[in-house]
Amino acid sequence: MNIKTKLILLVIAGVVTLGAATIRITASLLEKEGLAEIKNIRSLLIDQRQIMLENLVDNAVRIIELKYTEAQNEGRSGNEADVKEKIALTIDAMRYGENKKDYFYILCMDTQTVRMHPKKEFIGKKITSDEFRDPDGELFLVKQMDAARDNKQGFDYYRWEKLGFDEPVSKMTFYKVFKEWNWVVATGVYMDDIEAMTERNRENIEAGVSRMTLMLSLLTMGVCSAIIIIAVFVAQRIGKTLKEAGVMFRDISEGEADLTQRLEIHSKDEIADMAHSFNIFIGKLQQMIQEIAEKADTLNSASEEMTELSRHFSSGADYMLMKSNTVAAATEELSSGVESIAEAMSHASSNINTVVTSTEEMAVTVTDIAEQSEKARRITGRAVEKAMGASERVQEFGEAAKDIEKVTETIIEISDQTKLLALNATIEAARAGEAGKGFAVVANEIKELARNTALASQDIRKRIEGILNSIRGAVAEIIQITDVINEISDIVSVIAAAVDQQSVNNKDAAKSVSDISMGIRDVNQNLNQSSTVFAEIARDIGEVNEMISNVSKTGAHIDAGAETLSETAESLRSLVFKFKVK
Amino acid sequence: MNETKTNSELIEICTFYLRNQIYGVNIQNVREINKNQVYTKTPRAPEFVLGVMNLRGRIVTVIDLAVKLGLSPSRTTSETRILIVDSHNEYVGLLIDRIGDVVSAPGADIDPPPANLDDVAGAMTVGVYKSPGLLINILDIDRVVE
Repeated sequence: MNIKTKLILLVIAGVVTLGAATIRITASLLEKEGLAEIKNIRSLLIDQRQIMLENLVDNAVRIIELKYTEAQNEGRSGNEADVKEKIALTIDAMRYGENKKDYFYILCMDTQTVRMHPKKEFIGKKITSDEFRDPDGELFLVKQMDAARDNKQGFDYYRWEKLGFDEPVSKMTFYKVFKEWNWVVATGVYMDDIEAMTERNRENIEAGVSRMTLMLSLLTMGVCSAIIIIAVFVAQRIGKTLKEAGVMFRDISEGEADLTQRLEIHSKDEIADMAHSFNIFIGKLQQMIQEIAEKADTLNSASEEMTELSRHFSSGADYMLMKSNTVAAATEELSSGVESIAEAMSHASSNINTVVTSTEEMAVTVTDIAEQSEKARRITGRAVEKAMGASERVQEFGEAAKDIEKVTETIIEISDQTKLLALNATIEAARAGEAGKGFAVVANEIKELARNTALASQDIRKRIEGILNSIRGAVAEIIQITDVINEISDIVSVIAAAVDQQSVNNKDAAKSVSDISMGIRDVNQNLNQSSTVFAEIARDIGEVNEMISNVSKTGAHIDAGAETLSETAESLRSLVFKFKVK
Repeated sequence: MNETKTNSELIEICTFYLRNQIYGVNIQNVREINKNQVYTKTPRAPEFVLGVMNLRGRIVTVIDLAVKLGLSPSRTTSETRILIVDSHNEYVGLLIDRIGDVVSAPGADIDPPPANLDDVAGAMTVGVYKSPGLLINILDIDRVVE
């Protein structure tokens, strides 16, 4: 059950209880007051009745006394029974009240009988008669007579039949003793109207009370409703603010953690103060988380850099290790190479002697070559001269051919002219008609001749062109031959010079060989020393190798550390990014 | 002209070339073939008129036959000749690319020009000689020099 419901329930319970209590108390107070008033009114009415009855009875008794005194004074005591009868009739005639229904009655204490009553059958009857029992079974006339004997006057209450009523109704009677005759004069009034009025008043009051209760209930309900509505409204506002706060708290606690949210402040109460404080707190938290996020970013990038660095470091170490391995291998190879060299050197030393012998033999051969190459040079020189001559003669032939070509062209031109001439002659002959027939034949012959001449000349020209082409080819080939011969001549000269140089070199070589032989011995010695040095280097490289592999391991450790750091930074980031701060 | 002659009669035709196409004219219309190509340009003449030349004291108008027949203007080469023709006693020089020969054509072998030859050359053709291996358009000189 949330606070809102609790508040509402509390308010409803309180208001309903208060309302019910108010209604109950008010109603009971009203009822009490009403009842008290009824009682007052009733006793007032009864008092009035009593006074009336007392006056009536007093008047009746006075009348009796007056009659009695009158009778005494007139001296008619001798006929006392008549007097009594007369007075009794007078009293009997004294009716009063509504429709003159109320009456007096007289009891005789001496005879214990009814002396006078509107109902004639009661007159003379004993007061102990069963007819004078009220519904409670009491002999009320006996009771009245006893009370009258003691107190001379007084009230009596009983129930007696009343005209128009089925049941006996409550009746109040005042009695007074007329002592001269021991009469009890009494009259009574029925109390039913008072009872009825009382009853009516009670009913009115009860109705009033219930009406008042109803009104009060409605009023209370209205007020309660208003209070409840206000309470619900207030409770909802409180509940809403608390709920918003609750949602925010839940957001923050469950990871959605939206720190950009703020509680909305609608009121100026303690909740508003709390919300305000909470907003400030969230603001500070947001700022802090933001800072942490930034720091986490920085940490992350730093750890990434570190990872990168350590990777570089690791790869550098690996590279170094590889290199040192290479160096070690190279050193071993070198060492074995040195040994091979030493071996080769001793081999070389033995070969040197063979070289010396060969060099001497070569010197003889070189001299021979020098002579032969000089001879070759002379021959090529002559060949070049011959080729030049051939070339010149061919060129001369070419010139002659060109001259012939010119002549041929002239012939072609002449034949062309001749043809034109023949054509014109043909035309002339045609125009001359029959006279020109013979001339036309001649002209045709000439034309034919000119055509043949032209054909022959063209044939000659073609042939000369072929000759000229051949000449051009021959000239080119001769030039190539000349070039080749010149090259051979040059080569021969170079050979001759080289041979000369070789001859000198051979002598130097012989000396160099003995120097080499000595040098090889020195080298051999040095190599032996080197071999020792290489072994030391190999050992050192081994140590370096070990150190580098240590470095590599350290690098791996750093890498692992950096990765752990990176992971930590990442988890910090993911932790921080659970909060929404932007 | 010579269309009225009988089919058995031989007609002599002087042939020549324009842009490698062979043409012919009746030899009766030809005065001579001239190699000399010296002519004086005449101002404000039609496009096909190249100029005038002096032929042994006689003034002869030289026209570019190619242009007259609706071809592009001729270029002068060593084979270029001027064919002097006679139209109504007036000499006109026709510039040709190359001279051919004089051929004798039987009248039966000369057909009238085909009806669908409606271009400029067609209008100036009087007949087509079907010599062995080639067809020769025979030009009407009077219409050429009109």
